[in-house]
Amino acid sequence: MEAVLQTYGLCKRYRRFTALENVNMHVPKGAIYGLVGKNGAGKTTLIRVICGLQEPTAGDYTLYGARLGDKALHRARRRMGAVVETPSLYPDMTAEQNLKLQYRVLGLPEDRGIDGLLELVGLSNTGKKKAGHFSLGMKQRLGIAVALCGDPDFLVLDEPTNGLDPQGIVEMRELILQLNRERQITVLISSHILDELAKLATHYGFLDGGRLVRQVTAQEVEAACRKCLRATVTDAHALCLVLDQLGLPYAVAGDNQVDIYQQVNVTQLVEALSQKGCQLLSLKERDESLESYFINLVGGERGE
Amino acid sequence: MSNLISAGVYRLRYSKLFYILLVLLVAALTLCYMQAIPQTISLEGSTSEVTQEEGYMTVEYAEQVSTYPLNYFFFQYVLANLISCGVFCSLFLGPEYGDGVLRNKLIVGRSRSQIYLGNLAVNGLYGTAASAAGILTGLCVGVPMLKGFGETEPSTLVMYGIFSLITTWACVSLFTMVTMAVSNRAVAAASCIVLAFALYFLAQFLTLNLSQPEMLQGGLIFGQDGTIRMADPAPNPSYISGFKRQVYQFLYELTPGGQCFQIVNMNAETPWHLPVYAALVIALTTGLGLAIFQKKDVK
Repeated sequence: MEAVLQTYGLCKRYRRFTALENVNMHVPKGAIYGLVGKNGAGKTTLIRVICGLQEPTAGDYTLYGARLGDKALHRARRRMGAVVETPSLYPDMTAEQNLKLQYRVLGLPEDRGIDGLLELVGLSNTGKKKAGHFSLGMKQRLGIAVALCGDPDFLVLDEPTNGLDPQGIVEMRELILQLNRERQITVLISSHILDELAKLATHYGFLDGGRLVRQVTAQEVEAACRKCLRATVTDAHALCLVLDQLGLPYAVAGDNQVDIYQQVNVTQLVEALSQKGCQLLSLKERDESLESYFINLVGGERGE
Repeated sequence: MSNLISAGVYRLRYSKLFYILLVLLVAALTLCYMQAIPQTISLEGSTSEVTQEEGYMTVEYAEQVSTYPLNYFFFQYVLANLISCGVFCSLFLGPEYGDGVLRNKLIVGRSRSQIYLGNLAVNGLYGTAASAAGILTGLCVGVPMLKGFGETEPSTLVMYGIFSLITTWACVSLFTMVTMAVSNRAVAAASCIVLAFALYFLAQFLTLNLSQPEMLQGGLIFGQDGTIRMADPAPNPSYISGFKRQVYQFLYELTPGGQCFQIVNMNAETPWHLPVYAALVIALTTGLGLAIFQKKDVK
């Protein structure tokens, strides 16, 4: 699938501190890519680097095929909008003035779509109110409106729901989904609120200690997080044969461990296993969320 | 870059700071002119004499003090520009780092040099506006109040007018460099204002030292036999000479503060040095500022 953004061994160091190490990321076109990580994992640093705010210490990246250092990268950036950490607004100007100013920076006619943008983000009634007097939610929305000036088709949002109330979080989520579905905008969204991200993302990148430990699609995460029974036995092969006979869906989870994705008659299972000389050591119910998936992933990586 | 300048001009239109500083400048100059009005009263023929009576010396001297005070006050706006440019550049560009609006320009592909030079150009517009306001105030308020420039040549006034504009741009360039190099808005503002006053006081110090005469005029010596005679002129111990004088003179001509003082007094030793050194300051500060800004990690 065509990639909007691709990074190759991206590294960023600040004196003796390594914020990013060998990050190889692939953001497909049309995706909502969730960048997941704890505080201090390097999400914002990665976003700053790909937005051109900072130079990588090592490595490379391409944006719409334009490589770092190419002149074409400046043109490619015109297709991009971003809100990095906090919305970038002139506090002594109104919402409309902030947008008009950004239109001028882009070299676009001022009257092109400003009203529509304000309506899209729900700020069409702010009138002469200065951006400095907006609530946090309003500032976030105006920040997104500024990022949408120039009709970008790649939007980068760094923790856009930070500080928002539940209503604001829902509105933000709906806005992002609307932009992705109606305008086919590819979205890279970083967050540590996994439940919220799980409702949005089509792809995930898990960042820990500056390293991208895994990239998966939402379907793969869903498959991994399906509710199941984890059976630990003395002979996994025997268990698989029994499950095949019983017609139960399963997946081998590791040495002598099998996940069974359907309710099972435990007595029947034990009897069938004992006929094959296999003992059932434990049977645990698992209902993994994205959160537990991430914690297991990070904990597992650290333990390796 | 024209887009960035256009955006900057748009912002300038709505900037209260811009209008407040211009109004303050006009008000301050008007006040100066009003306070100088009494000096114009002595314009009609003032050669003073001390007539001799027996046993007294005759001293005759002509009125050396400028009888047209506008010559002294007209270019005072340049000194005001030195301070106001420090205030304006730091506060106007404050949101670039402080509110992160610099990111909006970088993200959409504007290069660092375009952003820096765009900001420099917009600050330069303020400097131009401030100089224009100063000149217009002088012509519209100062000339009627203080009875004009007397015998000062118009070409001299035009020359120093142009120099004042270039020197103001040199101030703008210096403060733009400081503001774009320092990420912290408060530190940048404090640095610019401190630097502005430091340049002012440095220039005052240099003016004071360079204006010392080489020889002190002798005083009167009263002899015990009742005779009075003039003492011979003596070397001035405060007079700076040699290499030290060259250094002082160089600094006086190079620093924006020194240039401002020379323009105010219209007494530049080598007038053509003023625009050349001002252009040099612009080139050096812009080059250095660009180099620092290119490498800066923006948060």
